[in-house]
Amino acid sequence: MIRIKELTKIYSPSAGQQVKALDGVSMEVREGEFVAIVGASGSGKTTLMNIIGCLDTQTDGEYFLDGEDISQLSSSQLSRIRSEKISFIFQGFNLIPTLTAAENAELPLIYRRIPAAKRRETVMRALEAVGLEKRGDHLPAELSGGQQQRVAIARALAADAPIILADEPCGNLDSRAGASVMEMLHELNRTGKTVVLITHDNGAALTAHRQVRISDGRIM
Amino acid sequence: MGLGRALKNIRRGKGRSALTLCGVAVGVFAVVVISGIGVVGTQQVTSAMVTMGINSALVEASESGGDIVLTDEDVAAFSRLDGVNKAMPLMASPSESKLLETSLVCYAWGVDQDAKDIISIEAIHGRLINEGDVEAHAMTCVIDEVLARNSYGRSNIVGKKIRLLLAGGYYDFEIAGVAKSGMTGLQNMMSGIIPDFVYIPYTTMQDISGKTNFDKIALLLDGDNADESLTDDLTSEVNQLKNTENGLIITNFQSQKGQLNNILSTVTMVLSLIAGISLVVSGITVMTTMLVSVGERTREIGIKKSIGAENKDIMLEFLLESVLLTAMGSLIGIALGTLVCAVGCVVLEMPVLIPFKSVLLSFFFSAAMGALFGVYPAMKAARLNPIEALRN
Ligand SMILES: Nc1ncnc2c1ncn2[C@@H]1O[C@H](COP(=O)(O)OP(=O)(O)O)[C@@H](O)[C@H]1O
Ligand SMILES: [Mg+2]
Repeated sequence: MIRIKELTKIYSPSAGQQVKALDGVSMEVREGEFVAIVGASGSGKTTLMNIIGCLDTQTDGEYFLDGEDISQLSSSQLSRIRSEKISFIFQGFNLIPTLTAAENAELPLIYRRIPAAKRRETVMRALEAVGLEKRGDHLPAELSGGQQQRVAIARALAADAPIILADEPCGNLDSRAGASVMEMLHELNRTGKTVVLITHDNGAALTAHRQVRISDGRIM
Repeated sequence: MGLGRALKNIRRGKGRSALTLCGVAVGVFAVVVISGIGVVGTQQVTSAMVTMGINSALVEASESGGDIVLTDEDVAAFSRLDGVNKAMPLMASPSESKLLETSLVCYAWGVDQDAKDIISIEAIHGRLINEGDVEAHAMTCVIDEVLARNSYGRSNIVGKKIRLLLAGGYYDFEIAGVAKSGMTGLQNMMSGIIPDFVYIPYTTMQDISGKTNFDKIALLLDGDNADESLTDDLTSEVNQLKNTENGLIITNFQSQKGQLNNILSTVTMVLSLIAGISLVVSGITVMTTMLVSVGERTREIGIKKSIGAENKDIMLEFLLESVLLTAMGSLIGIALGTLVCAVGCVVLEMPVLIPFKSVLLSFFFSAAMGALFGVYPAMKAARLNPIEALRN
């Protein structure tokens, strides 16, 4: 499903300056897998996830998603792939502060032009699945960190994309909330989603089917 | 849904959105009020033109033709000219009227029974000078309403006596009718210098002044063809009939009307242009607001892109917001502007006229402005790199 070969990413924050965030990374993720990418801070995990998630493109190397060469796609084609195939769960939750929990969860469906009645139903079920059916009309600021991350998971559930990319999803949570988020990711995986978990927490990584270790932009 | 979200985002910018709305509202308000003044002004002038007999014309001796006399034969001859429906002898004399104890300077006109059609006076009480008065050289008159009000304090004083100073002597007339004051054809030709008119049979005027001819001949032109070229043709024809070069001149309102309308529309246009500039300025305010909004919502844009929003989704979102912002502002401006126009018309005792064309125009203009000035911020938002936006 995800096939990466000799992937290199070089950032040029300013002219003449170069940061090699990824240096010849090759890896594969099969459909239905739960893979953990583990590495220290600054090792290039987020960079890799951004490329896998079609938010960014590589400097060099190949990335095929479902057999499609991502580097050849236009920005609107990339948007469509994100919309149809990928859901992100970020460390900072990335909910829109002015929208309620339900509206946040509904957003991916709006961009997919799903009719309103269908959207409402889907969102209700997603919020129920994360135990927030009573918090649908709360703003993110009115929710705890764990609850916010559950809204983000509900958003992924509603979007029903086959790939879940979670970048340090428990990084801002206490251990109990973190455990519940991990449990939900596993539940998602059990329902057939491919999950790529990015973490520097070995314990969390060990619950995955497989661990990929990354250091200084290289796979160990 | 899109509209609702746009409204929500506008409300989120509270103070800033309110100020922008104000800016647009003021611009539109200015446009509506100014064109309101233009429309009302034009309407006033036009209606005045119609009441004063847009189709009438006045033949009189020019400065060079001082000794030309106009006679009954001329009236008959002129009435037969192409483009002329009627001709009427006209005598004029400055006068003084005495009603009760009130003496007022006025202007006396000797007219015949066609005065109603040709110089468009209208009786509000009693009647106008009729054929019988003319044949009988009657001592009857029709006076301006103002004269009645200034003396008796009311307008219906039909049957009362009025003393008029004519050709050095005082004569008593019976008031047969009271006419509406202001903006009659004659008053217009007198340039409004002499305010109040008294109309008597021209034959009576001839008797008193000892003249057998007329000062002027008033013509009623054929309405469909009454334009400046007809006036020019008639001028040369009447001069030919009287065997003079430029001894007679014809005055009518066609050229005045055209000039006045030109001036009015130019003034309205210039003022509207200035108001339009204020609209453009408010458009720039909209752009600033939207740019600030894009800056504030960079992260939000990143999130939306990460969950599948396309560039055009983001673009439309911001465009909708700026169009809505200007549309709401312009609705406020239109409401206030039409209110001021309406109140102004009522206060000035004029018929209430709303400049609908300008209202519609400024609404669409400002909405278009919202779109135009929203494009750059919206494009800026749409083109944001999602990871950079997310890092924000
Ligand atoms: N936009 C960027 N511009 C310049 N350097 C960057 C940028 N993003 C990340 N980096 C650098 O690339 C390296 C990898 O970063 P990142 O992928 O965020 O690591 P991780 O997620 O593992 O902490 C770091 O050295 C970081 O400073
Ligand atoms: Mg990271």
